[in-house]
Amino acid sequence: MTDKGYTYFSTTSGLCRECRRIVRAQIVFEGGKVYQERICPEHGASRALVAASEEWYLDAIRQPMATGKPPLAATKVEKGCPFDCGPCAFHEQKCNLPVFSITNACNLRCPICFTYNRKDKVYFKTKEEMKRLLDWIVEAAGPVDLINVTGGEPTLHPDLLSLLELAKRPEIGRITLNSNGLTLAKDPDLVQRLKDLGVYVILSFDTFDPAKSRRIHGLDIVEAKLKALENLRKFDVPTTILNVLIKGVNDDELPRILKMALDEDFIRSLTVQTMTFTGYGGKEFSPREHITIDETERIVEAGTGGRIRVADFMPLPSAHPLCYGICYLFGSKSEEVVPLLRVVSREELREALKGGYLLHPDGRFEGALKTGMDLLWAGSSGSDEAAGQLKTMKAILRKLYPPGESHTVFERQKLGERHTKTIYVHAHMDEDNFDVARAVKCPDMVPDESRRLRPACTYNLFYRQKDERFWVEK
Amino acid sequence: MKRPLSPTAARLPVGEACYFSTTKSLCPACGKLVDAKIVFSGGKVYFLKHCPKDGPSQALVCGDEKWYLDSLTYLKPGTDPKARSVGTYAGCPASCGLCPQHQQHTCVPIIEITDHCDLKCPLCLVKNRDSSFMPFEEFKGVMDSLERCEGSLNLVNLSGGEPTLHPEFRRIVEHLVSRKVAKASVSTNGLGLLKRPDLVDFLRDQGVVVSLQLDGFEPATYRGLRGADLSGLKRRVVDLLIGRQAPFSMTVTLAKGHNEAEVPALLDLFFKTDNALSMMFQPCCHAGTGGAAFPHDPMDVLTIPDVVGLIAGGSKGALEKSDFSPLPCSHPACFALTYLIKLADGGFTPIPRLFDPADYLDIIKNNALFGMDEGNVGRIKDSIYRLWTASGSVPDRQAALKAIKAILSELNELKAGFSPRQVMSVTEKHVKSIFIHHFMDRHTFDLSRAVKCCQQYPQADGRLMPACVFNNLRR
Repeated sequence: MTDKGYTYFSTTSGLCRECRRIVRAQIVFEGGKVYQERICPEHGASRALVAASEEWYLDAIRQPMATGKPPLAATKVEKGCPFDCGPCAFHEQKCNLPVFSITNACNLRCPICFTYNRKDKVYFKTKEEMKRLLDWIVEAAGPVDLINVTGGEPTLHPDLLSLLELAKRPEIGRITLNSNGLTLAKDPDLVQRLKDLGVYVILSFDTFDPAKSRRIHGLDIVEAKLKALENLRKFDVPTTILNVLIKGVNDDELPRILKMALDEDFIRSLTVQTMTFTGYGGKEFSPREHITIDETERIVEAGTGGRIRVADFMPLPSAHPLCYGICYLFGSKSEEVVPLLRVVSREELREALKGGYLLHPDGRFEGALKTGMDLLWAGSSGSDEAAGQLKTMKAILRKLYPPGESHTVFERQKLGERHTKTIYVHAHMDEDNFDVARAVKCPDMVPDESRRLRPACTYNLFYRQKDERFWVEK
Repeated sequence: MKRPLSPTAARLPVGEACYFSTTKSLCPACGKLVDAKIVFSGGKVYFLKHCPKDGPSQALVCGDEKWYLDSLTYLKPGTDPKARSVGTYAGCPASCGLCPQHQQHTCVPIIEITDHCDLKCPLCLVKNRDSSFMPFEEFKGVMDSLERCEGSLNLVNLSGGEPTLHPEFRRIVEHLVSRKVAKASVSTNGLGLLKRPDLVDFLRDQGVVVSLQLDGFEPATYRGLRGADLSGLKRRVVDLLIGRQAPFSMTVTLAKGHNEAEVPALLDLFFKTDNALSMMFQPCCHAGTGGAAFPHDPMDVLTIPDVVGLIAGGSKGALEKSDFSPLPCSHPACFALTYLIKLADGGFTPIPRLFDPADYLDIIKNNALFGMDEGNVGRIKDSIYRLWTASGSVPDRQAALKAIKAILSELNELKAGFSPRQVMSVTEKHVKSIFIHHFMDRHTFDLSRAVKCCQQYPQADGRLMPACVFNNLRR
């Protein structure tokens, strides 16, 4: 008898790519790496890489995940996950981030596109629909820190600004708007209007290299992206860089993109989305190789010479560890940033996140920061590096908690924004790695007018097909 | 069979728990496979399920979140059997017994040679029908298919029903020990042994371990768990086994609120009795004819770390919680165990304390039986030599090392190529083991565990049914 070449860890439910049935799947370790293997009685077993390091995985999944209150409106459990979305009464997370498309029009045809845009049947959400949708979000999810307006390319919507205006309501903390940047490059006036509306722009930016741009976006749009960045800088629009990271295609550029995100004051955060093979383009993109959250974090560590290490990331407590990794940084230049986890513990950071995406810098967190700084200093034996880090920290702390002034948590969030950077590593699921254990915990949901609120990846894999506005047989 | 839902359905405060993962479990009402969320609340681990038909239910699965999380790192690759009785995977657990996707070979087969029993225990986890005895030829066939799948076996258990009621019991035992089996054990309630004490001599002479159901010594314990006061009879069985010097194992079912207080007296007996080789604690499993109906609160049951706590607390300082570890070759949530080595003065030292944790893990990794194979003995030797040079500070350790050295020199005398049976005969004189085995019921059923099950019921048709799949879904 011989030992298996791999170690079985656990059983979950996955998706068979051939017959699209939910089948037993298992997490296995082999050669130090972690795979999800789905086993279809009819179509056999196949594997997808979900973490490059067994140690990283075991550490990540053993972090407690806060359960939010379940969504206010839940559907009945009738067929089991993921066929009752939703969210159904079995879902284990509130909706932290409603994500919805206002159009299926797009001025690009990206080979990596993970949605289905329709030139043949263009749809623009009407103001009435938008209002109904926003009412539904608030009814179903309650007050939210963030919403995300996307497409298609939402800047092509003829009535974009009126729609965004409708979203400015007390129950919605922050409006984020996705864009490929082509319109923003040509239309500084729109950028100015977005700034005036207080909208946060999420600019997709995947490469500085024209050849790679052609491969990723179908044509070379590097110049336009840089122009869009210039306009966003000019009007100081709070911006997130959204980088789709593709193994063997643009993973070598992450350090440069990160440096830009850290150095530019108007850029608040970098979201790295690991390539997911769904949608009109992505479904057939090649090479079909998954890059994992921990591989992404390793690239950051190598690319910053260890200024930001893998250990400076942690799983986002409100999501599954295979879905989100986060790193909060103090400082606003690449050569001076201090990872927050060097100063506070994961528990303290978890507490300050209050089950969402944004830090809630309250009085307790100030105490944790101060203690952490003392410890940092005590443990550093007075090195230059530690002295530099402390200087950065102290300056920021003075801004966050100005002596003699009292601020609300939300005011502090704003004060802190310019002096902190966040790196999110976000892995969507596709047919290869769909995992019910992750879907059940999803905080990013797609609301629609039929009064449903569906976890983003179950929407992409199972429900998009039912809405011809955003799907077409390929 | 339709059963009531948990009386405490939806008791866990929603929103205060931490989510961990999902698995598949069983609806406690209809017994169908349903999604289960694994959540942590108040330091304990629970399943939250939602059956489309019967609605939500909850169950406690582990009394200590930290134990649960730590145990997940006790991992080792499974072993492929030489052959499998089921050729094609048709879904889990649909194609059970063992299919090509099963993650572990058959370490301990439990052969049920009859469904006759002379007791009707209120917490019985099987379904006895008093209908049949396995024909001798069928038993031989079962052994043939076991050998076909496994080659040789370290341990085979005869069970029932009450196996000693089988009219051809002796013939079956004689056949069993003639096969490629290092150790055989017989699970019994012991009543038959009192009627026929010669059976005890027979089993001893065949080298068979008597696995005696022994839940304690108090009348109330037996009235509660076994339906009658068996305390006097059980005492007599123990005396008989001691008197005849028959090697035995004590199998203790622990039910919350019934017999936790018996643990210290059971441990006393175990430590002072040379021919008591091992103890097997089984937190009550609510499956089967009796067990399912046995009154209990699924949100408040005993689980492995709770039993570890009871043992440590009842051992008069001999054992600590940290002496126990999950068994990596099974699913880590199924078994926990420790070993003790007998010192020259008659005392015992827990073996895990003697080794570096990594060495110890390596030693217990492959097998539930201490030092069973040559590679294992080699690993023990290596770590002993390392300890010899490194230690000196722990006084107890010197005595223990001496004891282990004595075992090793006895093993050396066996010369090269010793058989597992020989190794066992040497180690059982010096080493006692305590196991905790948590069988699953509808409430605690976890498909993640079933996939790696190493204890199976061989069937007449050659299939090997993982114990808890069989108990909950196939009886």
